[in-house]
This record gives sequence, C-alpha cells and structure tokens, in this order.
Amino acid sequence: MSKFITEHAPAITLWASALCTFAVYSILYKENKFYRFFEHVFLGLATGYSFYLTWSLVMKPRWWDVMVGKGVWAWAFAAVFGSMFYFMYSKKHAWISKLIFGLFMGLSAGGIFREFYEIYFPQLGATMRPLATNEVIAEGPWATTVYVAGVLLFYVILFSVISYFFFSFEQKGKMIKASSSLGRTFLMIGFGAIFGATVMGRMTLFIGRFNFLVNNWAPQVAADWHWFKYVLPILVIAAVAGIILALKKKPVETEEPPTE
Amino acid sequence: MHTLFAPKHGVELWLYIAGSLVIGAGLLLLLCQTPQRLRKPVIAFVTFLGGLYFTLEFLIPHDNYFTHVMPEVVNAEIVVSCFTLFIGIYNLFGVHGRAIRRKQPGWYNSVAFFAAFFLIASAGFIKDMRPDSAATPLFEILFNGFMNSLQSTTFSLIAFYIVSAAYRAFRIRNSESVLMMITAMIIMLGLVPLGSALTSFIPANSFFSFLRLEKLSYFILLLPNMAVQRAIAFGVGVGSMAMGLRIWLSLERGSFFDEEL
Repeated sequence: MSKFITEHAPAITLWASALCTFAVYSILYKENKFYRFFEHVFLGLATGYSFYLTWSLVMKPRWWDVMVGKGVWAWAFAAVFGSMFYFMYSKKHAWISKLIFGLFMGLSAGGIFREFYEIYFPQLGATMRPLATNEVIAEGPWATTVYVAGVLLFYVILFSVISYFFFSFEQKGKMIKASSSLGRTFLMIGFGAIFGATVMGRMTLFIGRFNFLVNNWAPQVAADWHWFKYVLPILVIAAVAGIILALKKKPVETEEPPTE
Repeated sequence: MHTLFAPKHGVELWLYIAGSLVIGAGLLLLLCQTPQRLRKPVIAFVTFLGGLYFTLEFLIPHDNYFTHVMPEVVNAEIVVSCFTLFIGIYNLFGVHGRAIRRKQPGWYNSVAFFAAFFLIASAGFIKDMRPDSAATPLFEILFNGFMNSLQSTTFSLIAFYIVSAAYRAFRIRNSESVLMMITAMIIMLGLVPLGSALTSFIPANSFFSFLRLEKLSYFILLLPNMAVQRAIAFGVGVGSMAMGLRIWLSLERGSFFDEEL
C-alpha cells in the first residue's frame, strides 16, 4: 500500500483534485449527497490540518520543547491557564473561563494603544500630504496642476467621508449635512471598488480551478485514455441514471399552515 | 529565586512539572471557592492587569522591564491561546460523534469527517518523525489533492453566488446604487484584458487616454478608493481605541459583561 502511494502520488493528487472540484461544483446543480460528503471531508481535513499545524508550529517549538527539552518547568503553568478555557463546560464554574477570556481581552485592549500608534500614526502622516513638492513643480505647470487637483480631491473625499461618520453630535448644519451627503456618495464609489475587486478575486479562483481542469487534468485523461475510455461510458451511464433518479424522486411534502 | 527557576533536567524536571500542575490545580480549586459577589471584581481586575501590561510597556520610555519580558509574555499569550483549539475540536467531535451514535441522517458524512481528521493529522505527525515513510506522499495527496482543491473550489463558488448578490445589490433604485454599479463595472472591466480591449481605440498618449478602462480603474483604486478606505480606517482606529478603553476598564456592557456569574 505504501509503495503504491509513493509511486502514484502525483497521479492520485491530480485525480483527487479533479474529483474534489467536481464534487464542490455539483452543488450548483442542486443539493446532493456527493457534495455533502466532500464538504465533511473538507471540514475534517481542515480541522486535522489545523491541529497538526498548531502543535508542530506553535505548541511544540514554543511550549513543549522549551519545557521538556530545555527544562524550563514553569511553562507547565501554561497548561493550567489553558485549562481554564474548558470551565465553560461547567455550569457551576463557567466564570473561571471568563477570567482567562477577560485576561486575553485586557491584553488585546492594551495592545490597541500601541497598534493605534504603530498603524494609524504613519497612515495619518502619509495622508497629510503637501499640495505640491519641489519634484512635482520641476515637472512643469501641467503636472503640478494635475498633482494639486489629485491631492485636493483626496482631502475632499477623506474629510467628507470622515464627516459622514460623525455620530457624536446631530448633523444639523447645512455645511455638515452637505459634507456628509457627499461622503455617502464617495463611500458608494469605495464600496463599488471593493465589490468589483472582490468579484474579480473570486473569479480568479474560479479561473484557477477551470485552468486546472483544462490544462492539468484533461491532458492526463488524454494520456490515460487507453483505460479511461472503458471507464468513461460507465461514468456517463451512472451520471444519467443519477439525474433520472433525481428527477423521478417525489418532491418533499411540506406541511401546509392551518387555514381557518 | 534564580535557582528555583533555573532549568531542570531528568527526574527533577518531571517532579517540578508535576508540582506546578498540582499547584495550578490547587489554585483552580481555590478559584472554584470564590464567593459569587467577588467574581465580577476579580474578572475586572484581571482584565485591567492584562491591559495595564501593554499600556505601561507602551507609555514608559524604552528599555523598561516590560519591554524586556515582552517576548515571553507574547509567547505565553500565543501558547495559552492555542489551548482553545481543542475547544473547537471537542465541539466538532461531540456533534459528529453524536450523529454516528444515533445513526442520524447523513451519519456516514460524520465518519468521513473523522477519517479525514485522523488521516491528515497522523500523516502530518508521522511525516515529521519519519520523512522517508509513505506518510510524506500521503500528506501531499491529502493536502494538495484534497484540501487545497476543496478550499479553492469552495471559495470560487462565491463567484457564482456573488452574481445573484450583485443582481439584488445593483438593482437601480437610486443614484447611489448607480454610482456603485458603475464603479464596480469599471473596476471589473479594468482588471481583465477585455476591458482594455474595449477602450483600446483611445490612443495611449492622447489627452483622453485617462478614459481607457484600465487607467480609469487604476485611478479609482488609487485615489477615491484609497481616500475612502483611509477615512474608514481612521474611524475604525478611533472606534477600536474607545472600545479597547471600555473593555480594559470593564465599562463595556453586553452578554459577556452583564451575565450573572
């Protein structure tokens, strides 16, 4: 068995990838057992992989090896602290899990101040750009005009969107109302850009899977045609039979709400 | 004190570890005896202590004690938080174990869950211990053949569902939805060769070259989108700081904070 796996690993990987791709895309036709099965396989693999990764990349080198390998015994207390999370399963002592959650929330809350300084301060500095620089002016009046217009537009968008998020006071004044309304309009442009980029990102994944089927899997099918030509008719018959059975299946009777 | 915390080896090490666990268990027992009226203040105090560490480390000028112990504190935070992984696994095992025990509809899917879990986890551990064994190619098959494919295919499914979402979101109801639709269309077309081809009749060096879809898309992403994202980020930053302060000082209200203990 181990010899077979070692020798045929690339072929098995290729066929498994194709099988998984078809299994997941089968949901586009309708809900089916084939999809559900592979969904659970995915869940199991993802959980098992996280378990393996957490142990081998974090807990083993950072905790076990330091405690047992280097003899730093005090790390045993990490297990005590870690066990506190599991008190959530006790009705009587569930509050102990809140203690450790509270500690972590406190640590995160404290870290926010540093985060604000390290992440947002440089961004604030980068945002407050001068209207023009010596390098831009040296490029000529047209380049300077375009640059200044760009910076001004950036400021207008930035401040109008920020004004939209002012909830500390009622937006009553004409100026703030107009600015907030403009901010809302610019937000729509931003959301449109985010949506467009997200759609294209997902499309890239779809193209990737399609590319795999056409350029990796299909040539392998062609290469293995000598045996695949016997399997293909069986697969086609099975698929047709499956579709016929699915269509013949009685629709699930739903209980109608009582009428008066 | 230095001798106490010095590294130990052999039987002495295991005795110290066992002793630590016993002391830890004792502390937990002591916590179990805490009167109900003291529970909330204890949680608030521990939360405050947690927040105080990073606040002091940040506020006190460099080369302070808190900065020196920071690697250990961060390491301990990571290690202790890793113990939560088993909560997720425990819950999944409970749900799927119950499904198998009670032979619920689709119980065989739960068997597949357990098989996949143990197969990849054991293949991973064996691969690390014996890299020359069959576990290495088996792990490759499970990771590249199954997990990677299932993951990318599942995420690519969103490409289909997002179309129906887009139909609902982009139904032209007002000027704002029109604006959003047009922006999304420009971005989508600007990112693919088709978009460039559509406006390729505009000479690249002419005054109107900014109307070419790829340039327009780039402009939107770089200027209006960037400004909007920055404004949102600043709002989020200020909001998270306010929220951090509320949590640190246990002023926050909600299910976690108001529940009877």
